[in-house]
Amino acid sequence: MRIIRNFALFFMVLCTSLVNAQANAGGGIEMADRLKADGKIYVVVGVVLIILAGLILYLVRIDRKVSKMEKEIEAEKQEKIMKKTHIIALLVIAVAFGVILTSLSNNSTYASFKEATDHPSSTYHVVGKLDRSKAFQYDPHVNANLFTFYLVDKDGNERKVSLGKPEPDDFEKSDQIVVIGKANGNNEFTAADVLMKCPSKYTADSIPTQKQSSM
Amino acid sequence: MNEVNYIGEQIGWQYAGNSFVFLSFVAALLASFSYFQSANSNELLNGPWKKLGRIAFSIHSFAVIGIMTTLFCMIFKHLYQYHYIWEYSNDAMPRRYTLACFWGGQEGSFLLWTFWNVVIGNVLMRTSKNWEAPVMTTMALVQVFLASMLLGFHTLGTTIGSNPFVLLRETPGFIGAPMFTNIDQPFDAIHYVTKLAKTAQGLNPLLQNYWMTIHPPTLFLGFASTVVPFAYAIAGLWKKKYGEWQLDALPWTFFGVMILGTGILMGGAWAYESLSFGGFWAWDPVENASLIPWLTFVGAGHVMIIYKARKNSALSTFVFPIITFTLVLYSTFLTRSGILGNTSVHAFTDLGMSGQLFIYLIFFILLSIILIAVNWKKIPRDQADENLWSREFWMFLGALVLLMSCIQMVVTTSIPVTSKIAGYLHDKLPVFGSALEKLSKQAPPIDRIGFYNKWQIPFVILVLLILSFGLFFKFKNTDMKQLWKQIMFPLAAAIVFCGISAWALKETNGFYITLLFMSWFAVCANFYYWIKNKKSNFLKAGASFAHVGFGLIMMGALISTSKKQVISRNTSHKSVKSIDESFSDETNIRIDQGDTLKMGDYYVTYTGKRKEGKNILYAIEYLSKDVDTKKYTPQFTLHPIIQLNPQMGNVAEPSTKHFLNKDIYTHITYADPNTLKDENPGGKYAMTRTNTVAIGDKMYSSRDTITLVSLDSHIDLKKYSLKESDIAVGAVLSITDSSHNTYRAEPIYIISGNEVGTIDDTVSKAGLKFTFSKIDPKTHKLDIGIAEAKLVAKDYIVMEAIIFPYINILWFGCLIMILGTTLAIRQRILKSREAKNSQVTANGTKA
Repeated sequence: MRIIRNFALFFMVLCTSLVNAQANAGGGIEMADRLKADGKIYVVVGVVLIILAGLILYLVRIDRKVSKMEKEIEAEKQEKIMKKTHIIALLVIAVAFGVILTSLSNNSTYASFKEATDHPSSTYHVVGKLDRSKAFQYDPHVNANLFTFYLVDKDGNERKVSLGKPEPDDFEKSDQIVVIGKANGNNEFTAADVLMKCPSKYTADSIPTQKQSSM
Repeated sequence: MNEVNYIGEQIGWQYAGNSFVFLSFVAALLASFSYFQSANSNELLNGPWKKLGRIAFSIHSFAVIGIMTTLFCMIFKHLYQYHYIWEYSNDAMPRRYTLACFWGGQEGSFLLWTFWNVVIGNVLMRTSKNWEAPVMTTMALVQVFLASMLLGFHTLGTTIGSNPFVLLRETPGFIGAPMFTNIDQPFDAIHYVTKLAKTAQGLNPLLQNYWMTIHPPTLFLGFASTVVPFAYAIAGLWKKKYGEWQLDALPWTFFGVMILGTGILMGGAWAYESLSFGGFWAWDPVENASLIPWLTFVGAGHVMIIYKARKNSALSTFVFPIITFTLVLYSTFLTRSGILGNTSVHAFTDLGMSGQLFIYLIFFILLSIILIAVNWKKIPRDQADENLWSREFWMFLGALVLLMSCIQMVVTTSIPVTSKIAGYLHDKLPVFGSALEKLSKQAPPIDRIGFYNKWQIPFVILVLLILSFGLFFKFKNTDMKQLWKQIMFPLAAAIVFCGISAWALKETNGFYITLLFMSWFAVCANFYYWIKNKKSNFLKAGASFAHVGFGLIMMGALISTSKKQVISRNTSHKSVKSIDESFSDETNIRIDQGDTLKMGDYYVTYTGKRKEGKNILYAIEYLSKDVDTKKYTPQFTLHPIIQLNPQMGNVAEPSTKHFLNKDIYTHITYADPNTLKDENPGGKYAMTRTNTVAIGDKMYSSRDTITLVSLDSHIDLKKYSLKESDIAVGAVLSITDSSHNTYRAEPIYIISGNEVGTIDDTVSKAGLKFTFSKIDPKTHKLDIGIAEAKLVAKDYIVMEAIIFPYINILWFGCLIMILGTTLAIRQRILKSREAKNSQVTANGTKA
């Protein structure tokens, strides 16, 4: 019984901390928002609960068996018993499974501007190219935390993007841009962050231009 | 076609370099084969094969050092006709970054890794005794793969490896560039070599840092050392000696843990000090890629201790080192295949080696799996179940918790990989369409730092719990009453300390308080253990100190992150909240030159900037204000930098003021683009204001104080092409600007016959022009006109200032942990020797 008690304890610490993590995350961090929105979170919670229930049931059963066997062992010590390590292994598998499932369902997805506009409450990564024909604006005299530019996504749709940060260094040189944020009502996109991919340096371009100037 | 003559090319280096590369590859192959034969042959042949293996490995070592010397000399001699040199160095770079250039590129960093393996291999060759042949087989095999990374060998339409000795004109992308094909008639010669110095790219400015000189070698030594326990594990499986290698591998494992840990922490310190991550750990995929193997490596060390003490958990002593080495390979694949390109700020660009890296990874994974599978039944299993109240049980549990935490990190960090695979399968497979499509659109977590913190804190709490109690448990079984008695004191101390610190920090989040308590507990318990059970013996402090250090690191990380305070709060301008709720006004603030803004408890002024080489140093002065007198007192000045780099873009480097209990981090997120160019006030001056002053009087411009020092009647008339009869008087002015710089100026007043004239003097640095327009003989007063340079607009910067409280706990913890691990290595080596000696004497007596 001692084994069970202590395992239950360890298990509960593990569970509460994970649940705690989830509860905590509810506030600031996006965790399983999609699942929550779709109502699928109940499926996940259900599955996890079933696994937990199964494990606990299993533990109780094993414990009964063990205590039964313990008496027998007194008589014949060769009897093999369920090892603690096996229980741990099962626990590890259960937790690992849970970790993989939730961390995969938690994250945002890549999408187009159209998709983002269709689901204005969700956060997306949108990959696109800068529209250089339209000016990008950053005026620290108005607000140091606002930068706007126009981005064309892979489907060719264009949106005005507002970024809540100063203009990144060498923004105009960037080739491909990933904006992370949401669509808003005015057919615009508000980005919490941008990632820029600079064009590869492995081109012959840098040589001929230099050559012209030097010759 | 006529042979063209490329003037000035030094081809010899290429021949030398390539010969060494080829030699190193072949010698590694031979070494691996010879050692393999030696390990597999009978007593008669084992000696000669081993000898051959040693010779081959020595040749390999020589060749690797040869490659390094060649490359180093090439960098040193600025041979820009070679692509690697052209790409990673230029004339403008100081000599002290030569080493940084060396491993700035992929080829160089592979070379560094190879070099450390050579060093480790040579030590193993001399110390591993009976294990030499099987262990060195794996070592040499790893070297074969690493050496192949430098081959640059074209075959079957692909290239194996990337060679650092390729000429620029032979590099794909540059072939056929006009510079290399324009023949200067009539000599059939192409002069391109001398023209390259101008275009040489140079090391990325972010990497031109002293950290770049010490961080990569440390990290790579750490990576290289993971191969030792791996090689021993493989040797153990292969030679079916399942339980003898752990003792030899243990000191190496802790050595690796210490070095790799130091390397990772150096990376953190680098990021904190001079990169603009705004913290010491950003959960960047590349950072994770180095942390993950470290965690499993720590696990490996601990399961080996269990095995050594109790002959338990034999299987784990194989699994953990194998996982560790595989994860090192996987992280190499992640950071070098270009797959992280969209998600990480500092992954390497793809050099087309991803396929090769992948094969490398799969080869060692398969090798390990097959060897374990074959030996599955023979690996000794635990005879008896571990006792619940034993050290080995909790140590093992701790290793498992580390593994769990790794799984979470691996899964999330691998999202770019899984989405790529899912995308590929989606196109090829007819089934699971929607699920695969969903998976293929997976993006990394949006708030990465928050996401990882939430996930990892529970694991950290568990690890801290286990390592607080851990040492108080005894192997086999523990008297629990005794244990509770011992732990009562540190537990009480931890409760008191945690209470005080939580109260002082006004911490209310239960989750954080738990972590705070656990880290206090870990510190107190392990320190108490050292005093009580190890009698404060410094040399036996290994485990306790390492655990205390870990506790301190977690405490420092928790406090400095959760209580980090952004003080550059934008208050005076239009709020971005109106655009989006998620936008924050609290990060970046515009500050005009000369303005003083309140930031936290400080008042901050941007006083000006100066140029030093390619760096622009901005002077940000922090002042305090006396409540009663309303007077400002300067406290300290920080100099964040913007490095001008026309080739790769400008780079900003933060500046941090360190106090004992907090750090103030200041970073320029944006600077007025007009003023980033060379300073030029434009030569246009505003209206002249005239001041009537006597000698010793002060005048003021908008920024400066000007004093009329004296009159100067000894004017060099010829210099101003005046006539002998003219009378000229100069007014000597002393100008002090707001940054306390002093300038001199001397405008001149001339009487030439009946006419009066003036010669203006300008001080362009202060943007001032002075005119001496009149002398009043009665009052002895002069009229001095001051014109100020018209600036297009006031110079401004956009900055960010963050207070990190108690971050020194973290750095102190790092030092303690490194110290503890070093002591542990020492003890492990001693114990391993002792054990061997006792074995020898035991054998001796038997004989």
